[in-house]
Amino acid sequence: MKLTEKQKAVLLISSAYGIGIAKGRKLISAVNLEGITENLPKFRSIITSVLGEKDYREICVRASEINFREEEEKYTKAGVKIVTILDEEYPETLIRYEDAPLCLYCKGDIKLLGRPCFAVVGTRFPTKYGVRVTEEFVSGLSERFCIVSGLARGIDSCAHRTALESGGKTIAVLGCGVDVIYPPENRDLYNNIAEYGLVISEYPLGEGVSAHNFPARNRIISGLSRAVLITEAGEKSGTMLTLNYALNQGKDVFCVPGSIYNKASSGCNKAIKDCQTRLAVNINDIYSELGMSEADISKPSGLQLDVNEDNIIKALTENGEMHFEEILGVVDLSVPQLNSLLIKMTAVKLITKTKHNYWSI
Amino acid sequence: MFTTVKSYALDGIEGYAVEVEVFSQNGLPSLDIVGLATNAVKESKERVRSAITNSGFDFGAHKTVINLAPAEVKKDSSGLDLAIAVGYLAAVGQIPYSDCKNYVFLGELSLDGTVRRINGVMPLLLSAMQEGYRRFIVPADNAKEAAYVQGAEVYAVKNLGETVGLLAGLKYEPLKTCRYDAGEKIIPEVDIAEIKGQLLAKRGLEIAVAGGHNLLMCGSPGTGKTMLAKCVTGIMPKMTFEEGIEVTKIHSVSGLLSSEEGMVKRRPFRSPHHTASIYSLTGGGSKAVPGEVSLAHNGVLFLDEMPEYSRKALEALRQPLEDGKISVARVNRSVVYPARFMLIASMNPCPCGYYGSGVKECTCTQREILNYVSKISGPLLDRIDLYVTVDNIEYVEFRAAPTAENSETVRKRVEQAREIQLRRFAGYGIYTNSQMGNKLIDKFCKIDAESEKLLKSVFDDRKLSPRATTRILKTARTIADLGGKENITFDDLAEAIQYKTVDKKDLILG
Repeated sequence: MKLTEKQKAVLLISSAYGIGIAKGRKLISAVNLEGITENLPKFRSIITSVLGEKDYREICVRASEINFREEEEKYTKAGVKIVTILDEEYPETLIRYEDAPLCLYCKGDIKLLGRPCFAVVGTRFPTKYGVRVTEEFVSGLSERFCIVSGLARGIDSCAHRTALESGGKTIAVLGCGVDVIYPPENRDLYNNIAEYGLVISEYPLGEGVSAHNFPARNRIISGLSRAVLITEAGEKSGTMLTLNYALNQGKDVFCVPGSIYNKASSGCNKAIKDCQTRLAVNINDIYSELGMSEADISKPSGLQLDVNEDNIIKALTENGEMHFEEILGVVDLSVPQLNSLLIKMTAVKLITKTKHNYWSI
Repeated sequence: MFTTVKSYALDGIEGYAVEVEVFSQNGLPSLDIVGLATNAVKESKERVRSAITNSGFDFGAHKTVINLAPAEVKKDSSGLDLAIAVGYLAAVGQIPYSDCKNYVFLGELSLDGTVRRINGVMPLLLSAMQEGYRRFIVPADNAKEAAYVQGAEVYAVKNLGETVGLLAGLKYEPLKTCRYDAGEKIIPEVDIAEIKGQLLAKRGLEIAVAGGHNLLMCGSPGTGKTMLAKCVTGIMPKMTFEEGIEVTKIHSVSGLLSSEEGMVKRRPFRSPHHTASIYSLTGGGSKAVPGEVSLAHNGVLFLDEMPEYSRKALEALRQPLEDGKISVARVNRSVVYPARFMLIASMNPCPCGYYGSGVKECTCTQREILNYVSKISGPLLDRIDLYVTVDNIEYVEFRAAPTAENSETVRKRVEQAREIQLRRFAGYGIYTNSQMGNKLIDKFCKIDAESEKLLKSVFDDRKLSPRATTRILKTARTIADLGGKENITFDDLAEAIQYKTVDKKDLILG
């Protein structure tokens, strides 16, 4: 890609040693930096007055190192585009936060940055329940929102995957260079998102995986989004950090409650208990909170249930989850008959198989 | 004088003709064996010399050369002894030569002239029959086995003396051909009625046995996986004669056939330990002997604690699971053994064994569980038709089985289903639904539009592979057969889908 003068300027400033987001923003908002890459000494006095002599020297050092043609080639080769804070494409939702990144490295469709987004995050070790919840919410939300998540294992991957599968758009925010695929098993998913959605990162190309980068990218996930949904998270989960970022940014956060016995849901349950977040049991809870029109989520009815199906539904409604042999107790069927009836009912989504030999509504 | 006598030697589970040529003349006394004889055959000259002398004949002093034709094939069978001895006696003029040409001689000699039992008499006889030989002389210890070969005129001899007597014209009765009868009562190690609850697993087992499908059981320690597997012998259908012959040939070659039995009548149930090497499973060694997969032909190969087997050993099962045979290649030979077995495997859900059990907390990390489950590769999992979870008994005790069926009842149903299959596949060279190829699936596994819709929705939903789909159809065919139905119904298909796992996620998350 061809870098504009503005982009070159932001790249130079942001990559200079000792200049972070705060100083970078200060400088960018104070000075029109166009032309800085060609004639740095002209800017000496103004940079010194805004930031100080030391930072000016660091920028000089950086300017002597950086070769923009090489940078451009590097980005073209990796298929990466750059959106800086001065660019039109830079998401408006993000720009108002002080700690918004100066540059976003993007791979994929950068128009998505302007779309209304919704963050869906959660534990890296989901239960089947968490996966199901994520699939259900994301398949609905992706009709109206672009789904943002962090491409981590578990719920994040599930959210991206479901969004793509239901024909929606999705943005993955990475905690490493945009060309680094982590976790490695998500390679296919990464490629799919890069093709049909967007992968972004604030870190330069090739930046490796390091633990402290991941919490930091959570602020981008929530910052980009209209609201955040946590489908399943333990108390000590990194997802709880996203929750804090989102609350500090003044976002609406929704949590899906889980079983009180399930450790994987303890974070969500606690957040609801502490009144930090809204409770969401279906997608309309979210829409009504956001003041949006409600979606039609009624289950397909009109199916004529026979007496056995009726009994099964009743029993499952009362007991939640039941073992195959418990269900056998409430119907008058043989093992093979019940076996095929259950799969039939699962196929029309009347019931769900929660794990082997167990079913629930 | 020059004589030639016929014998047979083993190559895999087939025999090939060996002509023993003996040329004896006056000269410095010597006895040489040529024609790529290995040690077992070279040593035969000492056995022959001693046996001839101890049977009351005169070994004499001759210059003798024995050639084993075809000369380019390595021979390592001690079963040529008898032929060599007879050829020698005829060559030196101690017995008349004319009659020797009418028989095929099989047997190893002991020093005192006794004819000893050899391995592989049945396959040798069957191969010889195919090439047009009808009259055989075999060791008395192999008589039972030889008696099952239809249409052959077999004489069982105890020693060299009897053999010579027979050739000299003494009257001996040929063996009476045995009628095959698998009707004996099977007393299983564990009766299926003894297992409480586990109705889904039992049903899965019944379907698997009825159609020869592969089954994987998963459950915490002590929930009854091994016990379920032990029930299998009790509900397996009887073997047909053809199946019995196939099994007997393999067992005969491996020397596992008892001399009283004569033929394997029960379906084999092989359970190699998980330390088993890849070669003990697939077959191999310098003589390329059959491995466990071949010994389990037409029966069951039971792998207890499947992830504990070495990865290589498990992957080696892929070819036989698909093709029903295994080719064992060695430096100087490559042999194809039949290996159409039904795989029954068991595993824990995780290394500690309690993942998702609800009884004890699992102490494994996610990574450990993944590593454990990853021992079973996707392609292998794809070949598993039925997957059942064996739950802890506390959950299901209240259904403790006063009405539970015993093995006898289940076996009757299984046998009826097998009979339907045998009738259906008469002339196709296969016996069970699991052995159907694509053409036969198209022909016999027709499903209606509604079922087609279900299968399609599952195909899209769970991202089935084409192989998984055909496997579901085959299982559905068996379920229909168990119900005595002509066509596969919607319910049959639904039940088959219920039992099919697709990937590792299924193993972990359910």
